[in-house]
Amino acid sequence: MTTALITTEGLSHTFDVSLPLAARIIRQQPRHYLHAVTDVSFAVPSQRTFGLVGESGCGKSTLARCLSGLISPTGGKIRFEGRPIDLAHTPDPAARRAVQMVFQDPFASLNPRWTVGETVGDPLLAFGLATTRGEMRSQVGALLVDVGLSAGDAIRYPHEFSGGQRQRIAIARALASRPAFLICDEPTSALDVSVQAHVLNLMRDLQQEHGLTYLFISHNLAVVDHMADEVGVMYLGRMVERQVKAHLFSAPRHPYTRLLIDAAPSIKSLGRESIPMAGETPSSLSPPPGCAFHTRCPYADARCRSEVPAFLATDGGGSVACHRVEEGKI
Amino acid sequence: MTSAPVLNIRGLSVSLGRNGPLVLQQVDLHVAPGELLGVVGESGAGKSVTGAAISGLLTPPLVQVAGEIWFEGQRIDTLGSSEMRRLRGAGIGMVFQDPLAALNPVFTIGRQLTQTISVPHTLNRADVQRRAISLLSEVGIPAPEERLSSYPHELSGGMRQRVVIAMALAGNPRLIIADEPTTALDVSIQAQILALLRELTRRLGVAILLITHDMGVIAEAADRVIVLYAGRVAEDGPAVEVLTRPRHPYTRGLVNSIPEIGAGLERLQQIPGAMPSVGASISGCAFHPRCEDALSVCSQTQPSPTARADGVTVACWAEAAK
Repeated sequence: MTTALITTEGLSHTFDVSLPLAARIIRQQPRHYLHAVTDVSFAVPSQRTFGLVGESGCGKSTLARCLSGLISPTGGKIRFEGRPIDLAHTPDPAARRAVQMVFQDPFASLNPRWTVGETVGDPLLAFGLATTRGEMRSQVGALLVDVGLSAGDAIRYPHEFSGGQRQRIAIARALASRPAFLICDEPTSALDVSVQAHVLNLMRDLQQEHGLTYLFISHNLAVVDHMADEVGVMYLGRMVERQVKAHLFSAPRHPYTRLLIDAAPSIKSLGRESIPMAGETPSSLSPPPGCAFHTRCPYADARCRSEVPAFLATDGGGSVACHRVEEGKI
Repeated sequence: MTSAPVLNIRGLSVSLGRNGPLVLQQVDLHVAPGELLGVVGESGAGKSVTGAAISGLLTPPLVQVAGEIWFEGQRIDTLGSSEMRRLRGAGIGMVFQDPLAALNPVFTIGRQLTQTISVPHTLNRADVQRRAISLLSEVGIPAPEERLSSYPHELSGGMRQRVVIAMALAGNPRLIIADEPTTALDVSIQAQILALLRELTRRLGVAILLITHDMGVIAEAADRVIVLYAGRVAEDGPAVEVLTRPRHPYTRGLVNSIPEIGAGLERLQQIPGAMPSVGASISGCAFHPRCEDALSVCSQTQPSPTARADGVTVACWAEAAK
């Protein structure tokens, strides 16, 4: 086992969603907090891929934003190569260069007024990786070729490209600073399946060529299964299960993971008469007490409704947060 | 499927402008009562244009240039706008992709639903109210009486989509056109909505045209599937046949490029190249530049859809030569 490149220890992020002070006084309401991410710990070994799955509002993207330094976590620690980092507050060029992000929507994440060359070349200038214009141009050309475009595309604008090509440009930009850790937040969910296959294959090739470590976030379980070595499942801000991929998909432990795998539409589900999971994800503004999943869980009992389950190690090297699993009932 | 089709489309072509490039070419399609027909394809294949053409919602510059659309034995592509509007309320219901955009944010669910119900002016207010409540419970909304006074923003995405489906059901339609109804939803909610649509076809005998880009959704819900590529029907047949034994090379490539849980592949199969843009002039079959099985005839003549003994219709020279 190689050493962990990125570690989070009890990472939490809470948004203050209170009404303005005057309104709080008039309506006699307390402050409200939204616990987007609560006490999430995991480690990503170098050159591996950690997959993160969960439904809308489970905190996947907030976690990604904490790790990339777009926002600062309100609790817990992030370590890069063993040393604590806080990219949002402390200037840390070495870590900033090493941690980069690819966003979901390639139509929103590229500046429409910048040429592809400017977008991809900007990190090179910012980090002093290229000192002259000519040097920058040749490096941009090489990056574009790396992601399957041509060097001549540098003079074109984002609107001249298709969705898949734009995502390639976004990947080239993320690779420009020669990062070690790439956070990919739903990188293919805006793309058609055949284009998705191209981009996923490209990402695996780049990982091997450049020795990259990925945090791969997706709501699509099959995509995560394809990309990840280890997978974490999140529900309402907490990680409920973490397993190596082979275990998670063949022998899921947490009831939520099981239901999620069952609900995933697949060609294999042809003609099956499944009973979909009842209920909906509760609001993260007022999460249910105890285990947040108890409102939808077929195995829930009194303990689940009152006590938050601890994230305990299971045999096989994973962890799961479930009273029923801990008691050996399921 | 012996009963007469609810919807029958013959040779539908739609162009961008009067003499502009064709976005839909020679599409044949029919749906039987109680049948759930999936229309699948990638962005730009012509899925949504097909739906819009049926409901008479083609707006300039999109123009229907050829073909006939028959609904319950009546030709509807020649109807005037007021007749078409009446049909849209009563005969054909619509469900759109984004339920938040399909509902008016400043009116309550009840007001929007009762407005739809009271269009034929045959019910009094109490009956309208009762009907609204029964529609909401029909689509699985808990405590429907209380929900009538809710605004769209107070409901979750899944509940909003249920409301949109209830509105589509308001006029007792025989056909519902659902354009990507679950794309904006989470997987567990998507499964619920698909189960609801299936149930409606069985219980009410309504036919559903389900437009989607997701083969998984087709597998989950559809009886029959039509695969569109560059505005033409590539393959048409029972979902089981098309998904397990795809005949057209494009369908095969599409099915193989989908990641599956537990597949354990090092690389996903990919179709080389990309779909041609609208108006690109490709002689012969539009798929031939990307096709591994392409013959010399493929680059010269467009293959016509050929029905096979197993109920699948395929437009492919290589398949016909087998």
